[in-house]
Amino acid sequence: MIDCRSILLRPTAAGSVVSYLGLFLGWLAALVLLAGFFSFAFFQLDYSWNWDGVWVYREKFLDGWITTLWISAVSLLLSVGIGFLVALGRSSRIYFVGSLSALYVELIRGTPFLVQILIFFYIVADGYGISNRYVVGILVLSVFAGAYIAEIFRAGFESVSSSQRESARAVGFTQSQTLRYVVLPQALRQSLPPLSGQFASLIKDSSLLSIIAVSELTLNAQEVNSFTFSAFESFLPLAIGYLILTLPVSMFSRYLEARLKHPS
Amino acid sequence: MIKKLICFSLFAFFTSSLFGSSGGGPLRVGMELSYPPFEMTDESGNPDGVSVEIARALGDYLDRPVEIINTPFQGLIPALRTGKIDLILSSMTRTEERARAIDFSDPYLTTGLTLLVNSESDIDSIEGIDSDSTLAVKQGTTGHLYAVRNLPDSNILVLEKESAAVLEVVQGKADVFIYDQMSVFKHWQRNQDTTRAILDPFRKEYWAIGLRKGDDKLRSEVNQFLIAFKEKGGFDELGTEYLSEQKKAFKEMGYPFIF
Amino acid sequence: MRLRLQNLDLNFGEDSVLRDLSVESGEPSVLAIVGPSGGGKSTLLRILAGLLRPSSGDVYWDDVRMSFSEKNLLAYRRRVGTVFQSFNLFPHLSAVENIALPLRTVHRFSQGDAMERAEHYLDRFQLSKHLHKKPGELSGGQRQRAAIARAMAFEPKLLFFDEPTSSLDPEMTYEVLEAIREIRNDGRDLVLVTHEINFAEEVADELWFLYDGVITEKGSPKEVIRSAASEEARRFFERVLRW
Repeated sequence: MIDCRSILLRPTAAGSVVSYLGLFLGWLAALVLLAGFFSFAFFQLDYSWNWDGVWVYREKFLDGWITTLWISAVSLLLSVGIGFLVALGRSSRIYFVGSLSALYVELIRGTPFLVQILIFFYIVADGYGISNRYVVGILVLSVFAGAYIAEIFRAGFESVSSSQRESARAVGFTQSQTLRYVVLPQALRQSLPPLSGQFASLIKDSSLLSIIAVSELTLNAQEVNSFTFSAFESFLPLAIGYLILTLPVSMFSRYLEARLKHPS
Repeated sequence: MIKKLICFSLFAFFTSSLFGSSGGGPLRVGMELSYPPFEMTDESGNPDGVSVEIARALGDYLDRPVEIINTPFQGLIPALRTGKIDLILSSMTRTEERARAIDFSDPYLTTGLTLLVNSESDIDSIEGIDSDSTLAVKQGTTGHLYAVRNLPDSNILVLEKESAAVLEVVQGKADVFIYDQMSVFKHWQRNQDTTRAILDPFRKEYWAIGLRKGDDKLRSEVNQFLIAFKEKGGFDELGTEYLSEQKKAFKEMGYPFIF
Repeated sequence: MRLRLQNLDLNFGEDSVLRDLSVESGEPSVLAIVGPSGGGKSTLLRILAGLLRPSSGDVYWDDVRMSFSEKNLLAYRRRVGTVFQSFNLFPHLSAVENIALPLRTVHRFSQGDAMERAEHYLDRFQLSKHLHKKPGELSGGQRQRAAIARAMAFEPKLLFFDEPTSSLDPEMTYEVLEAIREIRNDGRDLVLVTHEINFAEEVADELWFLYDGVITEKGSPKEVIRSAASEEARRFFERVLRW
């Protein structure tokens, strides 16, 4: 006899076991609903599918996806580095460093990424003689994401209470030891959830680099659309391509959060 | 821009189609208003240009009010197919691929693919392009298709915007921009220090008005209009009004004018 | 230990927390500082523990003047152990790591020695079953005991406790009391700030009463508590002892 409530609802009593059947049915129902919603719209249209036409260009999709992958990966690393340094710079005692960091964050967060790309590539990079658009693209993307990551880190730093810092001082830690052993580990844990969101955004924002003819996934999908006039068949793989990149990021981050969690 | 395009295209597919029959009522004409002097806006933001005038004249001829619907170039064919617009009048070249998706009227303008070349490049014809060359093209245009089909070994830069493609050539990031004759001429005029123009078309192109497949009644009406408009001297007037500089220059250089 | 304060002043902007404080102790092993909240007890303790610099004045330990330069304070902090009312331990480290880490990085113990010493002190305070638990998994009393273990692990001569039992219930308070007895028996000195008068009476050799930034009473706990001279002190002890 299956208990109806246990299939529909997650139990609230601490320590009770989740019903895997219930979980599975819940997911299934949600997916079916979503699929049904879209399918209904399509059947109304009497649309003639052109998957064959698009399949011919599968290599283009793959090439674009790989480009998006490595551009995102490099930018991710670079932006974390930039964000970390800028977050430290925000709390620096040197006036110049503090102002520069604040200016950077405000300017980058306050202007559209698209505008930044155009200005960086057609004016700044040109002025400094950097011609490779992939290099510029990665730099712009890193600088952009770095500003948001800097704020995430800063919030993480500030979330570490002053009593923790006092405790560290009392134990005999220097400023840098306090930072390394007490502040950073706690700040990093606090920063993980918003950080993973930012990573997913970075991957999606990389699509804007198509504006300077960086041959990433979005541009390639658009090209296929130009050749085949089949927008849906070109853009659905596009969406899936990004999902394949962003889902692992959020799953990994949730795994890390669970591992590093400390009961307070 | 890109997001708008994707949203627009998906929206067009997700909602029930309004296969409005173009039997009467307003004539919805789609064009991308960023291609002066054919499709553009005046200072107040209202549609203006050669194609707009042709559309209005068509409306007068058919005694139907005309609605100009500003649509990104790549969205024109999907919009037509799903009934959001009734005609495409956007300096669109008639090509085989496009003719599979939509119908075309008789051509109303003759032009061709030409090259805007960076002044420091030694390319002087389409044959001069090899695997070391960098080509700028605008997404979805015949120049784009030509490059992909015929020059696959070259480094092809696909840009969303015409102005970006020109900038690439001006800054020397690209050797050539493959685009239509009128526009290449105009851009060369504006950037005489940094560019040259090879205005002899290496491929002739014909612009025509796009219609839904099977919309034969409207097609014959449009074709009749085009004959009448030409006889009346309508195209000549437009040439004088919007393209006088080009008209004069082409005459001097010995190229036949577009109309 | 012999502690002498001379014209000690501490101002936070407009507020004068300690005013021209001058007092000399006898030779107590455990010195307790009591008084009403806001009187400046925690502030005074922090100065004595090397965590805060006074606005002016001097502190003498066994007739040696305490230097308040940053460099000297750092070295000083590394020689003394401090326990606060709460939030001592680092929540992301286990109990044993909380102790071993400073031993390794501040006191240059080897990995093995640090672990050994940490385990030894945790055992002394009945925490050997909880070595690898994080502070969040320990009770309040266990946390305080672990904090005390950490303060003692490098075997300092002088310790400072700021209201160590304030966030604990009577049973846990008893645990901490026992721990302090251990410290005494080890021959270490302790300066203790508390508002648990009975506790202070049990454990201290000398008692100071701090009222509104000035020490108004000083002597053996029994003397001060039962027969204080000043009006404020008498009122304070009367009220407190009733509870």
